[in-house]
Amino acid sequence: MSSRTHPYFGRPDYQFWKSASGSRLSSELDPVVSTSFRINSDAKIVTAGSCFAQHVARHLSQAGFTHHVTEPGHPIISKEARDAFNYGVFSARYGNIYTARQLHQLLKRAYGLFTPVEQAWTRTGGGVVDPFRPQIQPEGFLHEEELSADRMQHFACVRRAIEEMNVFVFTLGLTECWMDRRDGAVFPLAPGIAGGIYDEGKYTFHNMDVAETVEDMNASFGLIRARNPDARFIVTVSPVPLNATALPRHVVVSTTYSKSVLRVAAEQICSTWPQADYFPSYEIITAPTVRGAYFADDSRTVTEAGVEHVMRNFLKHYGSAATAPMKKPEFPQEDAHKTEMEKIVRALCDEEAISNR
Amino acid sequence: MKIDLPVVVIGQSHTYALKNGIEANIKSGVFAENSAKFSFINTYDFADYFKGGGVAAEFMEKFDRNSHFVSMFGGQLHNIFGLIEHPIKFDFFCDNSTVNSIDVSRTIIPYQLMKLHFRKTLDVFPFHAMKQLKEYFTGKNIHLSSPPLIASEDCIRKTTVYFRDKLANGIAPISLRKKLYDLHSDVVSSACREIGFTYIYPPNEAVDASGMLLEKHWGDSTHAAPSYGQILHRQVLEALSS
Repeated sequence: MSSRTHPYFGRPDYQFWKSASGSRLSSELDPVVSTSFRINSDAKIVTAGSCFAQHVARHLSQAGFTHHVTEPGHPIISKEARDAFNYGVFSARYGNIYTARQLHQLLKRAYGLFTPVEQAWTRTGGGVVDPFRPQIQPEGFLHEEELSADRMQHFACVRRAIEEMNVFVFTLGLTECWMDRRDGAVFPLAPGIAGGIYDEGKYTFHNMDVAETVEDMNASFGLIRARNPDARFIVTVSPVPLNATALPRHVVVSTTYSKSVLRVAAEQICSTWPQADYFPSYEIITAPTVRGAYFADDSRTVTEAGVEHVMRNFLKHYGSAATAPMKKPEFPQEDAHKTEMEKIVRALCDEEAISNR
Repeated sequence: MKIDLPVVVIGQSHTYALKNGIEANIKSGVFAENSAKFSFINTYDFADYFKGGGVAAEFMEKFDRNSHFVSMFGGQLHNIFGLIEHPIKFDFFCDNSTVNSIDVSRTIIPYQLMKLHFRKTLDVFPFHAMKQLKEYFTGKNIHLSSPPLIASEDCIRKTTVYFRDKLANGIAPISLRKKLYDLHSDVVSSACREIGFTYIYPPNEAVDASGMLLEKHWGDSTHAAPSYGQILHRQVLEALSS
């Protein structure tokens, strides 16, 4: 007969509410009990996902990791201007990827496996926007030709990111999406919000379920591993509640459904893929022990303190001894060629003044 | 044609084309010496007064408030961007340009991003200084466009001294240089409308059908000759007397 008196006997503290980290002091909450790999400072991390993933991407470099940016924008343009056009927010300029379907679709498009019917949406103020990243630049594109050229360049950067990365961090954000009835293409925003015209004949609402989310993630990981057999994955779920629901019910109810689907899907995906870890950023922000302290006054936006808590745990569990805070960005902020040309022009103007007197 | 108020011209090296053009016009009798009283300021000679993009009040106070102001600021931004090829070759689609061609084998920078960068760069200098100077002077405010481009790479190679070390990178194709020039001119002319300057375009008689500077007005790689300044002189007098 076993010496164990019941199945919980001798289990670690983290399995019990009273003794788990964070039960007494919320800042000590650390729901990560093991990881299947570590990330050294030279490992290339590619990020994608919902708006919460932007925080993750922003903090990676500061925490000493290599946020692998393959589409930083041309260095002759100031960083301030590139920031306004969403360069460097994620590894490539794909904008927020809210759903697993959107991720799968981006990968297929980047590798020429899918070409959506919808190519450009007309913008109210003139020009066009990309239906698949409608807010990627403030004034849209001049015309379809410019959008198409930018998209081809963008896809090359996506492919580079996929093929060169060591770790892919993906944050699942939403289940609700808008779909093109003609070919099943999904959009990050409903047509008509940031471009295009809403037409019920063309577009339909769709709310992804667990099976669909898992299928899209499996297909995405399969596509990535086919191009990059050594890639590892970290899956997270965004703790940010829905901004709006298209369903005729309270947004809180839709939020619970959406986050539940994503959390279950994340569990299933990470059970299927030995190369994939689930990282509990959702839990760190929403745990009852935190008592909502990591949400701003709107009860939706995650505060900087919350993001720092998530990243502190990320660094603790995935960082290696070689990971040092405040790693320099991969791309210099000032363009050497431009700086030199400015000096030459200045010298030229100075000298010109002398020679003409 | 006689301009009653003094005329203060402020800018950088491009001012010398106008200065030399005026001297040539007076010498050849095209305009009388007393047709206008010009003062020329190159900001690089007074850099301490132009720190941080604006202009110091004590500098402006050196001039009679009752003057016309001619701005020849900030004419080289397009050359900084694209006289010499950048190591990462780029191109862009340009709105309001006479050039439609594009080389998609280069990195394509979105037009709106180029425009934003130019505007933000020029907002710091010279637009802020131009606003201050407009507030100070009581006369008319005009801005002279950058000199038109010299299409000939041969001329650029032969005349440049300061860019010589960079020539190994190659000179940017004229289509790109023209788009940069058109964008630069578009941003500056828009700002002039906003802040109340009359924008003077390059004289038609000095450019060919493509908007390039005629060979007889070529100066060095980035400047026009005094003969171009002679035409500018007439344009300035006409603008100030109208």
